[in-house]
Amino acid sequence: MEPQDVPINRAVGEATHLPKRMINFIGETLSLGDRLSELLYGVLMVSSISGLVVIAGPPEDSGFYYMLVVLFITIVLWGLLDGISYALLSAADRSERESLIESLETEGDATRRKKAIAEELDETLISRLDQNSKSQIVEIINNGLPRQMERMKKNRLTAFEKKIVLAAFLLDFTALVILVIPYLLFDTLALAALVSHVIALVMFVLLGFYYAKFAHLSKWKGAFVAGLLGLILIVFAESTNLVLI
Amino acid sequence: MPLPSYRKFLGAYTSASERYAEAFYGIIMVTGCTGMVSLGVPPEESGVRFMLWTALLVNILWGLIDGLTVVYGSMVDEVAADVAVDNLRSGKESEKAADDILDELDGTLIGKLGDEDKVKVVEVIRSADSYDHFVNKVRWEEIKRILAIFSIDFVTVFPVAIPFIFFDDVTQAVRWSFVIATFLMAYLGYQWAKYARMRRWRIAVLFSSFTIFLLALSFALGGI
Repeated sequence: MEPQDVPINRAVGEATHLPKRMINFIGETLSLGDRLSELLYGVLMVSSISGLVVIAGPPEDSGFYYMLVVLFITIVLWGLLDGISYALLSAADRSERESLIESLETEGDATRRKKAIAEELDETLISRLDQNSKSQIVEIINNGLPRQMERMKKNRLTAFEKKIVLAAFLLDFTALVILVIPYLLFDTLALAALVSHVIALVMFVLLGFYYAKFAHLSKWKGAFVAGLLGLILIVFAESTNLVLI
Repeated sequence: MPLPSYRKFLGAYTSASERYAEAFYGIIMVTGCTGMVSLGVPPEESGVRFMLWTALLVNILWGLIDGLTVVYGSMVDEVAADVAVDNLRSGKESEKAADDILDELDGTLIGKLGDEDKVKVVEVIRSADSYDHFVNKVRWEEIKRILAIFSIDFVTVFPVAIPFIFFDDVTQAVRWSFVIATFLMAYLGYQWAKYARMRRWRIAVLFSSFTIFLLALSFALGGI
């Protein structure tokens, strides 16, 4: 092996590991439900925006570049907006939790304090445990919560919340990369849009299948419902002339 | 439904931060889509009516899809939590299962506990007498949650769509719609940041800049 091949091999190796690293990063940052929802939003945004641009854009060859630019800008913007709103949701939830801790600190009555803790756990998996185990966990929290903490004055996005922005953005962008391929392969805008929408429909079916699979529901029913939703969107758009495919 | 009852309904089925997020999505969807459609519609009255219908239909569809994905997405996460609890209790990949459970509970008060207490919580879950699995069915409660989310997206159309009712010219209507959306986004950003104890004016400016960017984009592409 020539000495100059070493950095090339390393670069190739890193490039082939990139998708795996990206998948791991997204998996560590977003929950399974969030990942499926983000992909669905991405497919929905690309197919509906490309539909809107087909009627709005110029019909000649330059329409391809026009479409690509619009799709790229839209998805980058949507990915950022979506990611930022996710991060803000997380920051707001953290602020809510800090408010609860502050109110628990000032609560002198132990019974009320425990009741407030139990209520906070009501919508989590803890609520599905038997009564005795729930009480034990409430007791652990009651004794273990940090006391006389410094009051939160200003809330800032944490490093993890910044990662959420990137992970949501990457998932939206994945949908764009898949659905934009027909615009690079076909000569006419209408045909490219048609193929892109068919791929979107397949993605709707797959996402419905996996939503149902991970929610322990009927997989084929899930695939059918999501596919039907995608089909309605496309047929509806066609019948109202929103999409020229 | 009278306003106090509607507020009560929203309060019961959505959290405050979810309401801010839904209003944010609603405004962005309607401004983004009307901006895009404005590139291709005739500038006279029929075009304005078309835009009004587009705004309404886009947000009806978006509201339904958003409501469904929120409900089904949380269903997926609840089932994933059940799988982790089952694995922990059966001793299958118990270390990973414990990590998954703590991740799931990280946003609650348990996330504020020290490592020792977190281990105690996991131990209580492992040795609990019983654990009822999540009931993964869309019941009336879930439908109400979908409707609550849908209604927020639907309601946010109206302030932004007002210009499409009063103006005959698409360009005028779209411009005024964007002005209203910009102020609404600034207000929403300010309120959301206040609730999250973040820098209010910074978030207000950031939010309003999104609609200003959309306006500039439509303009650059030859629209309004």
